[in-house]
Amino acid sequence: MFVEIFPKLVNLLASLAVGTAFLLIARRDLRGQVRLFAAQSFFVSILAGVIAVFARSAELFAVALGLALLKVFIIPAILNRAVSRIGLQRAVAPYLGAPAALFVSGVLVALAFYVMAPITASNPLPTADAVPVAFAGVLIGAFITVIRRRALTQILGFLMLENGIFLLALLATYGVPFIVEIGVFLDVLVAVLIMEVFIYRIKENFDSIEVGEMGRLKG
Amino acid sequence: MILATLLLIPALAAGSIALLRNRRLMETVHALAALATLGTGLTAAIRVWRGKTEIIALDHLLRADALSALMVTLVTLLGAIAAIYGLGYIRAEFDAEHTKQARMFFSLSQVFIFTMLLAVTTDNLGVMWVAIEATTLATVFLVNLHNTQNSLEAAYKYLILSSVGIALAFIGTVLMYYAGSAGSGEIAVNWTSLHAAASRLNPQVVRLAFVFILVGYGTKAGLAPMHTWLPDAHSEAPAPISALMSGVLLNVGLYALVRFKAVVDITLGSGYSSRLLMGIGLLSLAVASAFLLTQRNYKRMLAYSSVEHMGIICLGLGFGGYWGVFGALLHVINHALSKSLLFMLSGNILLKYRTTDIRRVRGLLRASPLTGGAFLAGTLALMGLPPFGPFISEFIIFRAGIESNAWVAVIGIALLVVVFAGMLASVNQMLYGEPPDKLERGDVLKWSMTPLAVNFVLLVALGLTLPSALTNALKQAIAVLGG
Amino acid sequence: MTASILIEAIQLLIVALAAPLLVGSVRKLKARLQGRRGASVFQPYRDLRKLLVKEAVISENTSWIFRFTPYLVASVMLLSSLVVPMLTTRTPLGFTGNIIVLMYLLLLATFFLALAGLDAGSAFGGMGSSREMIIAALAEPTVMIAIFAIALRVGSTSLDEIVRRGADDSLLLLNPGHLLAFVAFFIVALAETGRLPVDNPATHLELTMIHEAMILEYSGRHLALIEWAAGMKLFLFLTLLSNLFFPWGVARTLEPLPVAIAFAALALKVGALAAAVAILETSIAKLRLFRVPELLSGSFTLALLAVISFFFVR
Repeated sequence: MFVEIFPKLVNLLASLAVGTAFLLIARRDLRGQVRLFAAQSFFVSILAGVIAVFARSAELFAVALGLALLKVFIIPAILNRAVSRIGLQRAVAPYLGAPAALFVSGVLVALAFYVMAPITASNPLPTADAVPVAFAGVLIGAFITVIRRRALTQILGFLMLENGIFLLALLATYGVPFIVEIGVFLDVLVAVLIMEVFIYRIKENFDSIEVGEMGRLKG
Repeated sequence: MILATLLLIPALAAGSIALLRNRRLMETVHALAALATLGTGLTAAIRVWRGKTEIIALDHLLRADALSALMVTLVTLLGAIAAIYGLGYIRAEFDAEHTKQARMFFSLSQVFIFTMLLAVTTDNLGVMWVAIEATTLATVFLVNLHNTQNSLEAAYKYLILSSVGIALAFIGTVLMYYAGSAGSGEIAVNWTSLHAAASRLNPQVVRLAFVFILVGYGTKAGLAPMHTWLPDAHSEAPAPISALMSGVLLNVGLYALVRFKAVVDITLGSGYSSRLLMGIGLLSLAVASAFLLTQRNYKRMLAYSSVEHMGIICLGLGFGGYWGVFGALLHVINHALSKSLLFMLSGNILLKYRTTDIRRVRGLLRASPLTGGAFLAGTLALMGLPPFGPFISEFIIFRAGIESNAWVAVIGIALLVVVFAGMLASVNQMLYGEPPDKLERGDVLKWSMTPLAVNFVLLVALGLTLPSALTNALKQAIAVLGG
Repeated sequence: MTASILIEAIQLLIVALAAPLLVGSVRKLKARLQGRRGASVFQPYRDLRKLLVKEAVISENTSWIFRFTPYLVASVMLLSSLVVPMLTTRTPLGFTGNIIVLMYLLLLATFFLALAGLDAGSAFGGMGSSREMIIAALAEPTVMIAIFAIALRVGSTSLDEIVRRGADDSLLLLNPGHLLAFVAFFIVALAETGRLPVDNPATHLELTMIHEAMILEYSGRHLALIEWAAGMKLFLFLTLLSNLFFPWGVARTLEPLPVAIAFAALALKVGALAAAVAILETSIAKLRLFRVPELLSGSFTLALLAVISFFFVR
C-alpha cells in the first residue's frame, strides 16, 4: 500500500511546497511571507522524512530533521527578528503586479516541465515525476528575487530557491551525500545571517528596505 | 598532509586574527600566514608537477592534480602579494580608530584565501560548490568594508546575484551526480569518479547539467550576461580585495567550469561545450567593449576589462585543441598578474586623488611617477601589447581560433580593437595633463608597492620567454582536462 | 422510471427547501464565531414569508425585464438542481447534465440580474451591475479552466461521469491537480455567490456592496424570489464542490438504502463546506475591489496549473 501511495504522496507534498511559493507572490505583509517560507520548509522536510522512510536511509532522515530545525525554526526566527527590528514599512507594489506575476509563474511551471523532461524520462526512481515540480520551485524563487522590491522578500525568494534545489536533489537522487548536505546547510545559515546584517545596514543607510532606493551604480 | 596544512594555515590565521586586539600583531600574523601559505602552496604545486602525480588526502576529500597546482600557485602567490601590499593600504585607509574594520579585513581576507584554496583542492564537487559559495560570503563584507551607500548597494547586489547564480550551479552538480549514479550505480560526487564514468553518462542529462553549470559558475566567473554584479563589487571593494577578486576569484569560477567541461566533453564530444563557451565568450567581449568605450570610473574600467579577459579565456577554451587550451591557461596566469597589479595601483591612485572619476585624475605621471609608470605598463600589458605576457597568450588563443573557428576569432579580434581604443583613451586622460594644484607631488605607499615588482617581472618574463618548467606544468594541466 | 422521477423530485425539493436553511446556518455559525448569539437558523424562512406577503413596489421606469428577472432566476436555479448529481450518479436528466451547460445556465441568471439592476436606472443598480459583470468576467476563465482540469482527467464533461470516475479513484485526494482545481473552483464559487472576500452579503454599505446594490430596487415577492434563488445558488455550488471533488457516498443505484446514505453524506459534506465558508468569512476581511482581480487571477493560475499537472504529473 505504501509503495502505491508513495509517488502520489511525493507529488502532493512537492506541489504543496511549490504552492506556498505561489502564495508568497500574492502576499504583501512581511510576517506572513516569513510564515509561508516556514510552511514551505515544513512540507519539504516532511517530504524528506517520507523519502527517508521509503528508502530506509537513516542519513536522509537526519538530514530531514536538520532541515526542519534549520528552515522551519531557526531561519524564520532570524527573519522575524529582522522584521521586528526594521519596524513598520510603507507598502510598496512589486516591480510586477501580482496577477501578472502569478501568470508568469504558471508559465514557469510549464517551462520547468519542458526543461526537466530528460530527467523524468530517464529516471527510474518513483519520485522522478515530481522533479519538474521542484525545478518549478527553483524558478519561482528566482523570479521572486527579481520582481520584489524589498530586501527581505528577495531573501525569502532566494531561500525558496534553495528549498527547491534541495527538493530537486532529493527527488532526483534521494539527496546528495551527507557531507555536502551539511556544507550546504552551513552556507545557507551563514548566508541568512549575513543577509540579516545587510537588511539592517540598508535600512540604516537608505531608511527603507526597498532595494529600488539603491541604484546609483551604473555603467 | 601538505594539502591539509595548506588549508589549515589561512584557517588558523583567520581565527587568531579575529581574537587579536593589537593592530601590529594582526598585521604580523596576516603577513606571515600569507607567506607561509605561499611556501606550502608552491611546495605542493612543485611536488605535483615534478612527480607528474597527484596528491590525495583526507580519504579523497582533498586532491590536487596539475590543474589544481596551477590554481594553488596563483591563489597563494597573488594572495601573498596582496597581503603585503594590503598592510600599507589598510594602514592608510583605516587609522587607529578603525581597528575593527582592519581586523575584519585581515581576518576575512584569510577566510577568503581559505575558501578559494579549498575550492581548487577538493575532489568532491559538492564541497567545491560549498567552498565557492563561501567565497561570496567571505568577500561580501569586504566589499562593504567602508559601509557607504555605494558599497552597500554593490555588496548587496553581489550577495544576491552570486548566491542565486551559484545556486544554479548546484542544480548542475546535482544533475551530474544523478547522471553518474544512474549510469553506473552508486558513485561519490567526486570529480575523479565522475570523470571515470563519463562515457556512460546519459547525454541528455549531461547536456542539461552543463547549461546550469555554465550559467552558475559563469556568474562567479563574471561572464556576460551574468556579469552585472562584477563592476560594482570589484570597484567598491578595497584595492587588495579587488585585486584578488578580479585576479583570482574569477579564475576559481572558471576552474569549476573547466572541471565539468572535462567530464562533459567525454560524454558529448567537445563540440557542445565549445559552442557554448565561444558564444558566451564573444558576448562577454562585446558587452565589456561597449562599457569600456564610455567608462568614467577607472576601477569600473578595470572591472569591465576583467569581463573582457574572462571572455577571451572562454574563447580559448572554446577553440579547444592543445593550443587553444594552452593559450587559455597561460592567459589565466597573465591576466591574474596584470589585473591584480592594476587594481592595487588603483588603490594608490584612489588614496592620492580621493576619487575614482577618470576625468578628475589628471597628470598621474607627474604627480606620482612610480605609480603612473607602473599603471601605464600594466595597462599596456592588459591591452595585449608586447613585451608583456598577455600578448603571447592572446596571440596563441587567436592563432588557435583562426585555425578552428576563423569567424569567431575575427570577431573577437575586432572587439579587442574596440577595447584597446576605449581603454587607451581613458588611461591617456589619467596619465597626462596638469595634476590638480592642491595635490602634493610624490608617490603614496611607496614601500608597499615593492611586492608589485613580482607581478611586473613575471609579466615581462612571460612576454619574452616561455620557460620550459611552465610549459611542462601547463602540459600536465591540459592532460588533466583531456586535451 | 417512477424511481427516477421520484429522485428528481427529491433533489428539487432538497434544493428548494434546504437553501434558506443553509443560508441561515452559515449566518448562525458566523455569529457564533464572532461571539454573537445570532438569529435562529430558520430566520431566512421567516424573512421569505414576510417578504412574500408584503407589497412589491416597482419603479415606473422599469421594463418587463425587471419583473421577469426574479422568476427567471428562481427557475434557473430549480432547473439546475435537476441536472446536478446530488444523491445519485443516475439522474434521469443526466444526459443534459453537462457541466458546461450548467455553468452557463447559472450565468444566464447572473446576466439577467445585471440587466435588471440597470433597468431601474438608479445609480446603485448600475454600479452593482457593472461590478458584478467585472467579477463574472474575471471568474469565467477560471471556471472553464478548472472544469477542463477535471474533465481532462475523466475524459468527459458529463457531471455524472465525473462523479462516478472520481468515486472509483481511491487516491484522488493525493492528486495535486485535483486539489489545485478544487481551490480554484472554491475561490470562484465564493466570487460567484457573492461571499467574502469578494463581496459581503451582510452589508449595505454603498462603497462596498456588489450583489446587494444590484438588487436594491427589488421589494416584496420579487425580493423574496431573488433571495431564495441566491440561497439555492450557494447550495448548488457547495453541492457541486462536494460531489465533484469529494465524490464519496453518492449512490450508484436508485435503491432506497444507498440513496439514504447519499442523503446523509450530502448533508455532511455541504455542512462541512458551509462551515468552511463561515470560518473563512470570519477570519478574512473583504478585499478592496481593485484587488479582487488579483485574487481571481490567482485562482486562474491555480486552475491553469491543475491543467498543466494533468499533462505532466501522473
